[in-house]
Amino acid sequence: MPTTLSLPHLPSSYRLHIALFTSVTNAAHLHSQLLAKNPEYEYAFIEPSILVSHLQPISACFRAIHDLLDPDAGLRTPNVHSETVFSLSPTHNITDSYRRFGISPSSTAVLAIKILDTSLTSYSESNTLERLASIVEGTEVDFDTKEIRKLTDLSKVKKYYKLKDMGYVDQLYKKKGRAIEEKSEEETWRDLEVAVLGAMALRSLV
Amino acid sequence: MAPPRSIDGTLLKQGAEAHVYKSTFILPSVPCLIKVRPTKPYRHAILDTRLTKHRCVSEARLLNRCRSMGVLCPAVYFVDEKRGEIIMEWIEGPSVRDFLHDYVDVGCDFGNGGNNRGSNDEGIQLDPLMENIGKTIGKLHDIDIIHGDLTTSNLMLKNRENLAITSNSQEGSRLLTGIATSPSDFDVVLIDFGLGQVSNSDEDKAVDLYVLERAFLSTHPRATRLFNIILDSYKKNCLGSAVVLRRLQEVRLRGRKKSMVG
Repeated sequence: MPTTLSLPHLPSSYRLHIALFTSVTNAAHLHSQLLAKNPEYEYAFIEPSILVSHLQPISACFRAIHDLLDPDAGLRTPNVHSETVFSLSPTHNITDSYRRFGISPSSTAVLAIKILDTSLTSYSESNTLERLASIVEGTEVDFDTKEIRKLTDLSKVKKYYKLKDMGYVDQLYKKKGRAIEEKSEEETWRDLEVAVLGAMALRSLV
Repeated sequence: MAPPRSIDGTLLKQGAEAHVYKSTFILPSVPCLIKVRPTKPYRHAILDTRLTKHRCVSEARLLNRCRSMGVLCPAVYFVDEKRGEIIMEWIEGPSVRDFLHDYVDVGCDFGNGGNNRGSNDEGIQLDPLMENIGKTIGKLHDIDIIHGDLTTSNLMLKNRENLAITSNSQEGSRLLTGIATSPSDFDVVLIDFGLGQVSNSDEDKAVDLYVLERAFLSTHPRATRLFNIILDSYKKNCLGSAVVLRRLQEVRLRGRKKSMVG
């Protein structure tokens, strides 16, 4: 079931439509349509293996819509959907961000997001959701942190978000032979989540 | 400077530097804190923009560095440096200042010798807290971050099992009074890195401790013993503590400023 939501601090007319798919078979087709700039395929197609929580893609949407509406910022990519993929990146390299965080022809899982201004007369919720559910050929699963973590590729996340300093102080103490309190699995995920959100948030400052 | 906008949230505090709001980030289930540095009309516009932006950026960077390296502080969710806004993680719990204050109120004396309770009793609850504070500051200095404004208000207590705590800080405080018998039940969280910097000099670290000592002793006059527990714990846990503590002796004699300029 696709998720729809509006974000606080942004005009409530902007709504996200999100669906997560596994066992995807038409990734190559979707990828080629994006390259062809086919407006029918204007979605943010995200590679879920670089996601650690459901907050991460929503936070990217927040940044994208925020910059879209901010006359001082503005988009740096063609549209709000490509901007969402770009916003996942901790660096300013747009091509790299598409390649790393967006769909690739070999993707087997895809997170699809459509951002629409519902105040436009052409908006229809049922049409949007129907289209979202059918555009990706695969099995739709719940969009939540539990499903996303099943797909996470930790080594990729750590590499792309440059997280080698994560938990530095514990490593330092361990090296000196100190006893370190072991963190629970949930705490470790939470640390990873905020480190990634932080890396995304701080990009604009580099 | 981008024009300010109205913030969707409840104003919690208004300081000289910033306004602080409580709100939610992205989802209603994610509480957050928004720190806004408003423009100061009495400053020259260009200078004001630069200062606001610089402070906002440096605070966000420090918070992120601190948190990801493994010292607890609010995580950064979003930065709008043009408007001087930082959206960060909400920390639920009382500040150490409020906690100690409430502690005195409920009749526990934490100085030398008790009025209502024996000295054994006070020791059980506050000593682990002080040890925890010393350890946390030690960690912070081991990753070469200088907080710059260590006071008891800028130290918060977060319950490990953060699920059941109400949003009422009074309530949270009372809850902690009940459970703070074991140091593993709560975490010390550092907030407000507005005056922070990255530095590995023992002078800066010693001044950090000195600032805390002054703040601690002035708000809690009988707390000399408690501050010594913090220092002991710092000595035990921080890798570079020996040099810093030696430096602290010097700083105590001459005050915070090394060069007598400005």
